[in-house]
Formats: sequence, C-alpha cells, structure tokens
Amino acid sequence: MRLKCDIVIIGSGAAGGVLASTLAEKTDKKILLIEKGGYYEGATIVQEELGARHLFADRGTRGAKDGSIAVRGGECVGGGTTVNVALCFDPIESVWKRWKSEYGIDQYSFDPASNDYGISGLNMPNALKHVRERINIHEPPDDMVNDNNRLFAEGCQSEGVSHKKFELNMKNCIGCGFCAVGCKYDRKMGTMITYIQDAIQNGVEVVHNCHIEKIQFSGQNGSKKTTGIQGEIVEAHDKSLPNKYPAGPISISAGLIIVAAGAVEAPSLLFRSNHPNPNDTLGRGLILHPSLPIIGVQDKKLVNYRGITGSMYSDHFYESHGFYYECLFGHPIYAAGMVPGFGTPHFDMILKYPQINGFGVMLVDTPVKKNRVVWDTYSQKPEIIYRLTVPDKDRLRIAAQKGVEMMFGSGAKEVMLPSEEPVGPLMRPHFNHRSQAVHCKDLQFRPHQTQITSAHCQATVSMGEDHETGILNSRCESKYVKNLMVCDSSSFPDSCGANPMVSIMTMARYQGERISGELARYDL
Amino acid sequence: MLSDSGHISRRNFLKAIGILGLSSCAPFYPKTRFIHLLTNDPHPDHYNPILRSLINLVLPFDHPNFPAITPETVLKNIGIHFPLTEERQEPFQRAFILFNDIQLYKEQLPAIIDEEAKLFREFEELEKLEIQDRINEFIKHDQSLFDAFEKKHGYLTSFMDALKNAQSDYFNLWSQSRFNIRRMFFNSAKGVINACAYCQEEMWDAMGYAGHFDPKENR
Repeated sequence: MRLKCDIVIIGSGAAGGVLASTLAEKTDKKILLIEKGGYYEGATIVQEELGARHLFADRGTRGAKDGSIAVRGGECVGGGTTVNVALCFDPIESVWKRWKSEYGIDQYSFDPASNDYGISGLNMPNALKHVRERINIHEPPDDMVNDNNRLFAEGCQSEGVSHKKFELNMKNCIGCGFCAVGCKYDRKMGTMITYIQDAIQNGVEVVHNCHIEKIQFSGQNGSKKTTGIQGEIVEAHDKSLPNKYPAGPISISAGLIIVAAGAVEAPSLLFRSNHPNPNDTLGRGLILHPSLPIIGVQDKKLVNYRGITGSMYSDHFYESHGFYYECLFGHPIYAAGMVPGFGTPHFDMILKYPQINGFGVMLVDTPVKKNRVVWDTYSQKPEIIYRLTVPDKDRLRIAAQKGVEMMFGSGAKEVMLPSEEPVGPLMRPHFNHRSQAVHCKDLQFRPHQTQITSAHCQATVSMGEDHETGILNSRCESKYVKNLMVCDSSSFPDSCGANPMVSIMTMARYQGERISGELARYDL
Repeated sequence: MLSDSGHISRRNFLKAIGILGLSSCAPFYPKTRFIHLLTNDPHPDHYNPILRSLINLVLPFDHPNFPAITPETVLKNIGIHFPLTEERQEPFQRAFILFNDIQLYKEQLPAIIDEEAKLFREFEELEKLEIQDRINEFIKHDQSLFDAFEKKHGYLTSFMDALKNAQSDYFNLWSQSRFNIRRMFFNSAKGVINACAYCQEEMWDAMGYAGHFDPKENR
C-alpha cells in the first residue's frame, strides 16, 4: 500500500490529535494521522482491568528493562488521553522560563499579546485557552468529591499541608470510577472524542493499527531531508473500528513528518531510522515522574472506587521539594498488587478493601543522562533504563514519611506502602501508629521490593537551542534532518513540572499554529 | 548451539554463556542441576506443578472467607492472559524450576551474578571493581538469609515438597534477596497469580467490590 500526503503525524495522543486538528483547521493540506494501536470507541470499553489491556503499550506490561517500574502508556486512538484519569495542570510558566535560560528555548511566550515568530496571536496563553475550552477543563463540583478524596483533604488539613481541587477534562461525568481503563460513556474529553473528531471533520484521515518501522531520509549528513515513512498495518483487534486499508506493508510519502508517538516510541523510531545522534543524546535524560502509592485503612466503609478517581491534590511541597500528592485509587487487581505480602495476611487486608483509602506521591525527577530509552535490536523493542538518583530517593523518603503522617491524619488506623522492604524494626513499611512514619527514612526503593509506577514519560528527544543535549530546535524540528519534527512529551528538555497532558496539548496547539503560519519553511 | 536454520539464536547463545560461566564455580551437584536447567527446555509437566504450589501459597484457599474459586480457575486464567507456553516466557518457565530447587538459593550461580553485573553496568554505569564489591555484598546477604532459613527449617531440597510454613519463608527469601532477578520472580509470580484470581467476580464479591458500574446506581 502506498499513500501520499502533505503532512503525516505519527501518534494520535495528546500531541498528535491536537496537531492534526489544528493543521486541518488552519491549512488546506492533506493530512494523515497514524496510530499504532486500535480505534476503540467508548461503547467497547468493558470496565475491567484485564479486559482493558489492549488499550496499553505492551498490553499493559511495559516497564523498565529490569521490570522495576511499571510504565503505563496508552496505545490506542487518543493515546494517553484515552486511559488517563483526566488530571489537568496548565503549563507552568516558571518551568518554560527556566527552559529558556538553561536550554536556550526560544519563543513560547506567556504574554497573551505576543505574536511569536511574527504570527498573529501565536503565544502560549492563546494556545492554552483553545485547549482548555475544547477539552472542557474545569473543577468538579463539591458533590463529586468522593470519600477517598475527602479523606485526603482531611489528612492534608491535619498536617497543615495545603490542598486543592484538581481541574479535569470531563463533561457530565457520572462517576463510574473507571477513567483509567477508558471512559465507556464518552465523558472524558480526551483527543479521541474532541480534537480527532474535529480533524476528521476537516478531512484528516486516521490510519490506526499501523506500526511505523522507519522514517526515510534522502541526502547526506548536513543536508538530510525526510521523504516518507514505512511500516505495516496489522489486523485490528476485534473491538477496534475496522481500518480503511488492509493489513500489510504501508509506505507513505509526505512533505512534513511529525513524530508525536510519546517519549518511549519517538526515540525508538528515530533510532530505527538511524537518525543522526552525534552527541549520543537521543533517548537520554528520560523523566518518569515516579509515583509511590500510600495506602490507609479506615475503620468504616468508604466510597473509594466509585466517583471521580482524582479530584484533590497537594502542590504544597512542589517548590521546596519537587513532589506532589495526588489522590488516586485502584480496582482489585491493582489493589492486590499494591498490598504487600501473600497468603492469609494479604487476603485479610484485601477483605478491608471497602475501608481502604489511597493517594500517591508524584516525584518530579531530576534529569540524568544515564536514564534513557534505547532500541534493542534483538527483541525489536524499546528498552527503558531508569534508576532513581540518590537525591531523588532522599526526596521520595521525605514524601513517603509526610504522606504516611497525612494518612494517619485522615483517620487511618493502619498505613502501608507497597513494599517488602524492612524498615527500622518493622518487617515491612506497614505502620500502626503515626510515630512509626519516621522509619520511611530507611526505604531504599529497591526494584521489585517497593512498587514504583510511572505514566509520564518525557524528555527523550529534547529541544535545546544552545544545549548539547538538544536533538531538536525550539520549533521541535530535528537539527539534523529537514522537514522532520518531534512534538510531544519527548520534546520537553526535562520535566514539565506536573502531569503533562495539558502542557503537551498546549505545545501541540502552539506548534500547529506556527507550522500553519510557516508552511513555506517546509516547502508546503 | 545452532538452530535448525543454521543461525545462532539468542536463546542458544544465552544457554552457552550460562554453561561457560559455570566452568569453575559451584560444587558439582548443584552445578550439574543448574547446567541441566539451562540446557533443557522446561516442560509444562515440570513447571506447572510448581506454579500450582505457588498458587496455593499466594492465595489462601482454606481461608473461611475465600470465595469458591479453585487453583484450576487461576491456572486457566494464566493460560488465557499470560500464557507461559509462549517462547518469550521461557525465562519465567526456567525460573520456576530454579525456584523449586531450594539448595540452589545458596549457590553462586554465574547466570544470576552475570545478570546482576549487567544491570549495574547498564543502569548505574558502575566500573568492574565496584560491581564486584556490590555483588560480593549481595552474595553474603543472601547466604546469611539462607542460613537463617535452614537453621529454622532444616535441610530442604524441593519447594513443592516442603511444608507450608517453610514454603512461605522460602518464597519470602526471594522477596528479600539482594539479587534483582530473585525479587523479580517473587514480584512477577505474585502479580500474575493475583491478577488471575482478582479478575474473578467471586473475588469481587468476597472483597466487597461491586465491579462494573450500573448507571442506575446514581439514581
């Protein structure tokens, strides 16, 4: 199968969906939107953990190479926006300003009167405004705050820790509690039901179940230019919408190629394509936002797994220590995985499930070169190589201790961490009294002993004008291959400082508008 | 070492590495058993009974509140969701057989040591001497855990044949090991077994989880 278009976008998540919609709205170019996973409409969602595995990369088993950190990532039309819990944080101006000073990132003005690149109205506040309106970002009403979130707020109050309501991208949520396996009722405003629908109406063609193997270049070093991509369409999962094109090899020629496949797949595709990597920086500097759950047991039954999963958080320690507390809860398989031990003691704890409350620490991790994504030619899979740094472990211990104290402050009678590590005199971090929280200082966060999770991969094909790690310039263009862009969470120079969805979407809206105003730059 | 197609497969290559690495370590009998483990493809008749014993350990079927599901149900679900018969699961199949051989826990098995060294190189970019120091410390730690286990339970050879409290302490040894690969087995085995039990509606009923949402709940 051979196709031809002006612009091809690889990846249909937070970035790809917005780029497709914006470019279709503002240009008359022929655009293809490619997605590796299937196209699963809300009605196909089954509200079961194992029944949702087809929505995720590696069927939900993706993790660090040594298996130590589970790294969730959506692999379906809408990408992460289909399977996240709808938590929205505006781009943090201080982070983008730091990127300007540390990495030389240009433009991305936060002044709403700015015309970046000389394009009328191009600036971050305008891009953000569009995103906020289109995906309906708002605070949930008080009556949608369930017991789990209410107790989190009480725990914060008892410890003098400030807390806030999340903003969420939902519309008329009915509180089923299954955000993380996809919304059956189309109430979560991910890109699949917002920007991608707009894009389709404006003529964008979505090709799903399509794995892109390589980007093709012409020319030599110094004058390389993209010519197209090649890959393969696979048979669609039985729950997916059918593809327009049959299974088999596919080759697409395009004037501009935009990779928006996320911080694991984007560098992998560039590695497979032999993209120049003169400073050995491709894939390096991986940010994961490692998360550590904190589990409490109350003495009464709660509404915990129904309602909005996360409606409360705390950024109290963001400026001082670089971590958040975010209220979250899990269904049975997740819960069984997080509760330490096995056999009768484990099951006895599971029997208390209706009394359990939970929230997580989300650490804004420090970028280091050795944390990276590489492409393994043997297994033909990306490998995630990641270890917490020593300073990050220190911050995580502080976060764990304070979190345990907050959990007791919420009224919990027992508090535990998902860990088999002995701490102080305790066989595991399972506490019966607030004073025992101090033993969190003994945590080593050993892989496979303490459960750390991640869903926010970033910074593996990063921008940087005057910084040696930058593969991309500030326009998200490859510095080495003309007409190739990487625009998604991998383009961030390091952590965007919070849950990244809205930062990614804002950057994508901004870049979509910029490309539309600079088509001649790409010979379009 | 050559496959039918004449190419050196990665699998055979790893087997060869394991065998070569064994040349000067470990007492004869464990060495023989370990070579056997590396060079023979595990058969379901060998690893399934070990998996079944682990299912019986991880899930308390004799608990008065445990629902009416059986180890067969869990095994069946494993076959559906995480089929061990797939070639990519071969290391997991071998790990079950290694796990069953209790006395191998105290041996300095080159394959495990090499794997740990590789992780230090790849993940932490440590130098050879530092890696050796760390691994020596790991060996010492695991040997002392095993000594305490053996002092309590006596000389045991097979996980499957051990009494339940010994099985439990032995499985815990794997969670407390300094070697990543052992902790990984503990975590993976526990995770897969739990996932394939807690996907059952009977478990949901027992734990007070209502499962699928019925929009009528909100009326």
